[in-house]
Amino acid sequence: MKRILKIMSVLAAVALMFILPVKAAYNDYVIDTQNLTYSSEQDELNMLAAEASEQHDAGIYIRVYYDYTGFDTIEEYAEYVYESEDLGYGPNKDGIMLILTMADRSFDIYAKYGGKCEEAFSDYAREQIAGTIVNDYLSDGEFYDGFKAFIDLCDSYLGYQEQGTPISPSFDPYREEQERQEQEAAENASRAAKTGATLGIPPLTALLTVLGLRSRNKTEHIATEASGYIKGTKLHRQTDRFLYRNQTVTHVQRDRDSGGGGSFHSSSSGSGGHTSGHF
Amino acid sequence: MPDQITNYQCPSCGGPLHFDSETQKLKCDYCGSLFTTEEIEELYREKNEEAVSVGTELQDSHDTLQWTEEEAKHMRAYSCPSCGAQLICDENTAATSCPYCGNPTVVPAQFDGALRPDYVIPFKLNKDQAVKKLSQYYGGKPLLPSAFSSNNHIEEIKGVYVPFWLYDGAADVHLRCHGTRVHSVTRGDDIITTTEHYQIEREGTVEFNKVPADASSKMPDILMDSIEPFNYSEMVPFQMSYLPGYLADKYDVSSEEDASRADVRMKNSAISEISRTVGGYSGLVTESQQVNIIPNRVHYAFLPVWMLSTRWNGKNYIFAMNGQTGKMVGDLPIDKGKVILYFLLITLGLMAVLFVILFILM
Repeated sequence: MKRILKIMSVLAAVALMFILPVKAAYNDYVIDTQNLTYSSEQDELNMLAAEASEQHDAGIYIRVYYDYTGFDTIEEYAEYVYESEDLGYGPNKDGIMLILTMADRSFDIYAKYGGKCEEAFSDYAREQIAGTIVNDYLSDGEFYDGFKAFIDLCDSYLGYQEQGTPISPSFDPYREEQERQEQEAAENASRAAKTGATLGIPPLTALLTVLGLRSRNKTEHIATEASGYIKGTKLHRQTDRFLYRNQTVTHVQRDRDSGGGGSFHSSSSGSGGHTSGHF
Repeated sequence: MPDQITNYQCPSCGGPLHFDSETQKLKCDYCGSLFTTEEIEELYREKNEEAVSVGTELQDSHDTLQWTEEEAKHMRAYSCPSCGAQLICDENTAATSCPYCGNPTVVPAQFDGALRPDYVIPFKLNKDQAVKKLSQYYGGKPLLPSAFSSNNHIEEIKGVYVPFWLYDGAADVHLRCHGTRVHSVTRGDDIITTTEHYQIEREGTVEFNKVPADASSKMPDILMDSIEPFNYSEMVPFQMSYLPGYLADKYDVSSEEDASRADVRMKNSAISEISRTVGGYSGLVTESQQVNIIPNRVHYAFLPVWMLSTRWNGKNYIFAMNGQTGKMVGDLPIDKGKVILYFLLITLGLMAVLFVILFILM
């Protein structure tokens, strides 16, 4: 009897595996094949992604590969990875994935629409996330912080969606906070510049003026030039001989801050949406 | 005994003549008759030829009782042709006026042979204009103590023909520099900066015409340099008849001694002139410069200067005015209180304006 019960419980467990939604294993949420992060950092990221995914019932994934050989675009590759690894939560595989290919420093944020993600990660929302992680972290090589920020933002965006106020152009507390901080910084800078100008320019101007007035009282000077008495100039020899040249190359880090990811490319279909670009 | 000096007298009435800067003629103080310098020179040619001996040294005179031997050696005594008074002058005095009768007098012997100036620029501005220029000179100088201009009286004003050496010469310049030209192009995220290096050489000659240096040790060089330039187009061959009414000394600094001053000026200007032919470089470092001054003629000229002196707070202030162009020079005192006042007024005023503009209006 015990044996029969044991066999039945094993069969029930196997059946449950097929019935319940497939969820990624603990260490499948973050895969970094290019070792941009230490293994301890990967573990931490995995744990954070797993917790957030479980909490919202929508997968949050990060994948780092060398390139996307065999595919025309990184978007196609992202969809292939998502499907082949059977990522996502629930029957419609709800989830979002950040994928990087280091050969051409490309990225794609792929949101698989399975119930929550179409609302939580609209084109606008994905571009906001891309703007933050690419401009603030990935472009500077701060991959661990960038991945952590991605997980945190996805966690928050899903939270807002669950509260019935998904992030959108008309509701974006992050943008509002950022704008408020930028405005405050601009006001502080402006106030400092005005104060500096008010305190610094007047004494400097006064000093130069007084020195100018003082020079009016001093008109005596020993002559050191006789340019007014030149009768003529004859040039006997005039050579400009080229010696050598040298070159220096300076790499300029372009300002990629586009105010919320406007330089990224976004596209959506019925099953998912992409936001991609370079970092 | 005192020796010959010439006192230019009016052929009409016998009154003293002086050079009038307005008419550029000799004018009689009494009857106002005007004579050209040529007319008077012709008239006095014979007299001047007779007046060859320089004033006698005072060694045999009873005047030596008041002068040391060294002083007496450098003094000369003349008798005034008008009133007969004895004039005691410096050994270099060439033109002066009698302190008793006021008649202008000239010492012809100071212009004999090599001592005769080649040129003279006649005075164009008179004493009144010089005084007026001085009060104008005080204007537009806010840091001048108010009491200086209001309580200030000119203690002495004199028109002086200052002896100058005018040097003709040339400067051979050899200049070698290292020059760089920088170009930048942007390719993608890279800025490629190319620096081209050149060796630049210039050889040339700069010719100078009549570079002045005053030849009187009594005149401060700094003042004489500062009243330049003189307009040489109005320079004329020297005639003694330009001198009556003004003071004049013959040179007491030789052309050889003075040459170094002119050489320095020629050297500096020659380098600047040749350097101007180097262009198109963003960076230029002079590696070597050689200048060889080739002296040519030296001219001796009398140039017109009004010397004015005032006294304030126990200190003498000397001003010089170019007697031809009217350019006035001379350092003026500075009121320290006014310096502080101006500094504070400008600072606080600007602060108030900026505060209103930046913090209230904007």
